[in-house]
Amino acid sequence: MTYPIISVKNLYHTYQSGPLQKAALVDITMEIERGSCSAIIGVTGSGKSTLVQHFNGLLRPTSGALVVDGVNVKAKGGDLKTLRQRVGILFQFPESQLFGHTVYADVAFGPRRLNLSKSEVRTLVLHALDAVGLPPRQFAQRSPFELSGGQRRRVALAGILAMSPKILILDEPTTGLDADGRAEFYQYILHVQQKDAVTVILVSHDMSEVALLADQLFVLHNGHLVAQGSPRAIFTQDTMLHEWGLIEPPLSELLLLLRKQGLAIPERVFTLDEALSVLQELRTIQHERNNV
Amino acid sequence: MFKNISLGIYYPGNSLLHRLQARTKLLLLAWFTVYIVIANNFIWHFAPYIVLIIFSFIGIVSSGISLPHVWRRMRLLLLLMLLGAIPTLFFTTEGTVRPVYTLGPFPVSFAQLRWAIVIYGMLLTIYIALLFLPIPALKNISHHLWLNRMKIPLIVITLAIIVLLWLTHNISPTTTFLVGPFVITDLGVWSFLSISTVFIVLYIFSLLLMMTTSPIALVEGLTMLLTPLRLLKLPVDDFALMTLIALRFIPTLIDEVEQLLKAQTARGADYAHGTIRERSQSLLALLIPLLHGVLRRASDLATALESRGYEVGSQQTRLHEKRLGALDYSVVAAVTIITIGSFFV
Amino acid sequence: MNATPLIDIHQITYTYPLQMKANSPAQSLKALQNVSLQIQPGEFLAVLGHNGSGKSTLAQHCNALLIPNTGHVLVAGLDTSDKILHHAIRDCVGMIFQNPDNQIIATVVEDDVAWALAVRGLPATLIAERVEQAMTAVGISHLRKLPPHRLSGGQKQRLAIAGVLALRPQCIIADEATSQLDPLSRREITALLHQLHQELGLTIIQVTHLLEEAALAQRVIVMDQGRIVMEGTPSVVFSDIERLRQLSLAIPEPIELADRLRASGITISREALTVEAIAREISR
Repeated sequence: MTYPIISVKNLYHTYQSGPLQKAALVDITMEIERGSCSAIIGVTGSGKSTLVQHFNGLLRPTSGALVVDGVNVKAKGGDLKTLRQRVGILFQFPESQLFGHTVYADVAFGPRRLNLSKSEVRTLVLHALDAVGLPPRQFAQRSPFELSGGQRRRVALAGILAMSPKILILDEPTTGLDADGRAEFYQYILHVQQKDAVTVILVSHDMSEVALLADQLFVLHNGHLVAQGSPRAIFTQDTMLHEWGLIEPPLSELLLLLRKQGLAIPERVFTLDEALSVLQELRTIQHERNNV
Repeated sequence: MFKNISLGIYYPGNSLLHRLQARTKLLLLAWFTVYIVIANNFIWHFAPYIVLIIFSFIGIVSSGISLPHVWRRMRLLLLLMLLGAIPTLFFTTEGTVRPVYTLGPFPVSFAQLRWAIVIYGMLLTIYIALLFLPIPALKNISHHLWLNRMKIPLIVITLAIIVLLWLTHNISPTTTFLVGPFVITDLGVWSFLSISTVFIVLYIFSLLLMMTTSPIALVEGLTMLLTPLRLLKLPVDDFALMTLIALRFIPTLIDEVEQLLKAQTARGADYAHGTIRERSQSLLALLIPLLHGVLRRASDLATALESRGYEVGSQQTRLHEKRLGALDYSVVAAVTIITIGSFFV
Repeated sequence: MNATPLIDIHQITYTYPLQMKANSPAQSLKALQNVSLQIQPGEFLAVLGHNGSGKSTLAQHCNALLIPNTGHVLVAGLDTSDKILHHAIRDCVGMIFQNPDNQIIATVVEDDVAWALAVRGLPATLIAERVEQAMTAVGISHLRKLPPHRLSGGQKQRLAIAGVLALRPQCIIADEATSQLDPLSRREITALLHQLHQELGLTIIQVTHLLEEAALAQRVIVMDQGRIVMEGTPSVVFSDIERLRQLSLAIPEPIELADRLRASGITISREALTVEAIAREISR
């Protein structure tokens, strides 16, 4: 059993604004495996963004234990600067965070803060630009503001990848992208996960996306961790999902309806191909029965 | 988190002051200001100031806002006001004055002055030692915030003393110079009292205005009062729209800045530590996207408003300001009568 | 015999004005090329296309936000190129936009619904009445005193719809109004648009890149590179899944499943485009 890269035990986070107290996270205990692709899902306000911001030290727990890649994130004290290099976060609509006068300058912002030599920074930047499908020769000297929305988003991703993080957190990475943009983005994420052994944590409310990419799901509701498991397992619990304000991906919805209508579809059926083969089998069985 | 910040200090309610129209309150405030200026020319005429104090009490009572609330907002102002008004108590010597009380003069010899400087030097040395000696026990003390904040004032004082020493180095230690005398005159007392009253009263009136009128009603009221300026071709309605947009987007922009701060901090931006170059780059990383975002919003909003039928310079129906009612007229009448009457008492 | 169309788009071309760069030749991208379209009153039309296909550009021609370079657009008989008519045109056709925040102008929900009416100088009592009706129609009456930053994305879009409804338009255009929302809110807004279409008889134009939204419309047009490349009822348009895929549109898995089942010989009606309908078809 590999040592988990993130270990959370009884984490609480309470916001204090004047006399008002808001419990954003309540008693969260979870583990994220090294090299996995996990997704944290929940409606807006469920606490998912708050949770992931603990993983790179942007927020500190009010109480509880949190260890990220060996670094203990405590309520007070501790040096979190190294953690920020190892854990990269891409926030929502990252293309609105670009500021460099060239693509190169923007992507180099992070690495330059790591006290590396110029040539080391250069290697990192070029590698990152390649990883997101923006060949440096074509794009490095252009202004980021000339590029399309999808390209700018990839520049922002490159800016994070250039710091060689061990953990990559993506907060709603594909909102506003069309089909092509999404497909490409997924490609880059999976590539980075597999080739550079990066642990990917996805925060999303798009269930199809999550079904496609994640090995493990964590469901948050009102600051509580209400479920965890594989997408296959979670998406069959449609009543619970609706209670948590979520809807299952359309295919799971379809399969659930079919099961309700009496078709014998095993619970483990989840992907399009599996569904196709099962339905074709059922049809063949039905034909045979009719012919008997 | 910031979403809980309410805009301005408006407390919704149904008190007398809340029920007055914003225009009425603005006009009253303007009238009181004029009243004060006129009253200032009648020295030794107490009536207007007493009237003002009474009105401010009536105002607080009729606003339904508790006294502790008002006091909390006044504390800082009182401090500043005292700092500003006390000199008038001591230094009003022009005009026909009669001294009431005299402090001093205090003879101070240069020897005493030099001793004071020596003591100051010793304290300064201790201070520097606290900051720079690498003794762990002292390090804890040096983390106190106020020690760091005193750096700049201390540098200024030290420089001033060095200049002073240089200027006076050839004066014998026994020479004395006189500090003072500080004469409290009757005019001084009068000025002190009248200035303090004016400060406090005006502040209370403005506070009451802000606390009992929603920002939008204020903007509308102001726009309606400024209507005559439209004849001078001034863009009064556009001013109203600009203020409205600013009020509307401030909480949204606060959220956006928070988000940007987090995103850039996550990439290693540090606004407080590092070289000047690094810090200014971090600042640029915040300002440039913010500016872009703001311009983007402005463009989108302009399109949306155009689509909803906005045309520059159109006359808008007021949504919050209604017709002036009996309450408004009676309050204005009462205040006018009493204040003008006070000039003749 | 076609009744007079509400919006008559005739052979329009449009190019966004680009700044001329000093050393490169002027490059103009034709955003719309020879587009013609007639939208009937009371119709629910979906305009489908990937990012950059020209669908938003087309939508913005329908309420005179953009004027075509060639050709003309008539809205209820009024020509959009005539500036004096813009006011009347925008009374007739309202629009809600992609970014929920950047179309809200007032500090309080009920003020925003009232804003367009206040700008037209209507009397306060009439405004209050219309605001009530609009808020009830979209279901945000309970939010009336809240400031906009306390609303969710879906609530903000409902507010935008209320603001447009208060003007009693004949047509509402939703320009990618659900792109930035979460899936549940997307469904709610789409459902609201259909509800307004049925209950109030409004013409609705929904610009989207999602097939599951277009599937619910009465008519679908698909755009690519500034042209209309497909047109028809959803069942007709969706029968050519490969073509849609080539046009960079994401095919929802249930529709793809239905298509593949059809290909392997199982009869599935082409009208079945929603999850429920497909499920029913498969069960038979």
